[in-house]
Amino acid sequence: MNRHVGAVLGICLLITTMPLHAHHSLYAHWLTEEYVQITGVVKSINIVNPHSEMIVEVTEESGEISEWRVGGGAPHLLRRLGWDPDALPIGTRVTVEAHPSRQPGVKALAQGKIFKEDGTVLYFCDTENCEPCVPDQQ
Amino acid sequence: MRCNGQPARATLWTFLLSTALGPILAGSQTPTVSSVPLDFVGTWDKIPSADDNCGSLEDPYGNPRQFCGMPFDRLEAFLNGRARAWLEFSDETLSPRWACAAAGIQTVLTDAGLYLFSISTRPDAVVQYHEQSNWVRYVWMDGRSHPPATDLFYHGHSIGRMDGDVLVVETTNFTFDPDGWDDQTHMATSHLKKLTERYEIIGEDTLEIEITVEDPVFLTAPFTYSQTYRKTDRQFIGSWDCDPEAGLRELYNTIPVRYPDDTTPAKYQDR
Repeated sequence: MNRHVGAVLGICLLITTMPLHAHHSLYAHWLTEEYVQITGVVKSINIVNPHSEMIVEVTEESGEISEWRVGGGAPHLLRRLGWDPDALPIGTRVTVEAHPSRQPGVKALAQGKIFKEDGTVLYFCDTENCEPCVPDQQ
Repeated sequence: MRCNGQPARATLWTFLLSTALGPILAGSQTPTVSSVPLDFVGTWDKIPSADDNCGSLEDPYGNPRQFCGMPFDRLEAFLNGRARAWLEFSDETLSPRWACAAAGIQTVLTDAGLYLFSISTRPDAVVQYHEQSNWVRYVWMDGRSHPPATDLFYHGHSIGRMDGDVLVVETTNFTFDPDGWDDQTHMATSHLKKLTERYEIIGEDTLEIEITVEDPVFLTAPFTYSQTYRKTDRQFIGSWDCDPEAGLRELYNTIPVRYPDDTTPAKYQDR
């Protein structure tokens, strides 16, 4: 597993009409100033409310295979932001960079940037390019 | 005679009954022809307002609000001690949204920049279709009154009338709603909430809704705010598929555990 944890200060874009995460507070559930990176194979993608989810199978350093759950944007927002369901077939090897859960030890991430081996980047998020920390205050 | 969804005949007699005598005969199930102007009919997209702001209240975990589609700073001045105590007590598990309950009226009207809503009419009702949650709301225009207080509904019971060019909608008979104001800081509303919405066309393809919330359980006085919408040609996107299991998995894998004897999280946690 290629796992890298880094604290990144969120960049707030103050001029936008697109709020981050439509339903619930992202802050309450995810460490929005931190990112975790995992590399593995896409096992399933479920585009569903309240938030979409993707399962990525990761081979841990011990050799054990574990499943990481990556929470994504709400389906309507994903589609409005151009999510193409055909762009990420099951079985694709990817690196995901996303926010870790506030519960220590849980294999769950949210708002993932998906890096494919061919160099393309997909955004499994509620915001354009997964831009972090975007209040909709004018 | 009731319309029962069938088109009513617009006779002079029914017109007089519905317009002049309708309010007097409220509760008598008088048939009517909806007199809502066609200007209201269409799909609406919210226009962000300079009045919208996040306010200063935090969610139960001490986080600032992220979604700020109404004047939360003004609202905070109307919250009573009980409302503030509720904010400290409440937590994410009480939010019905995680298990796919359709968002309440105030939330869907506030979120209308993300999810569109449409207004259409039929003889006995104004019908709102909200893209968020695939929720269809009926505002009864046939002169009926609200049901007795014994009958409560999560989204309340809505009746409407025209006041000149203004569509006035009154909604009561709510159940308690942990997310009555919004589903981020989880400001609740009570069974005593009364919502009055005034829909007015204020310019070409521009709709203003003035919303007054009365809720003596949580507010010190009625609170009024306005939101503006622009008619749009944007299309609704697909259906609103919601999976409570997916929602609860996310919920219980992410929130800090508050009550160690809550056995529900173990069912959903990925470790």
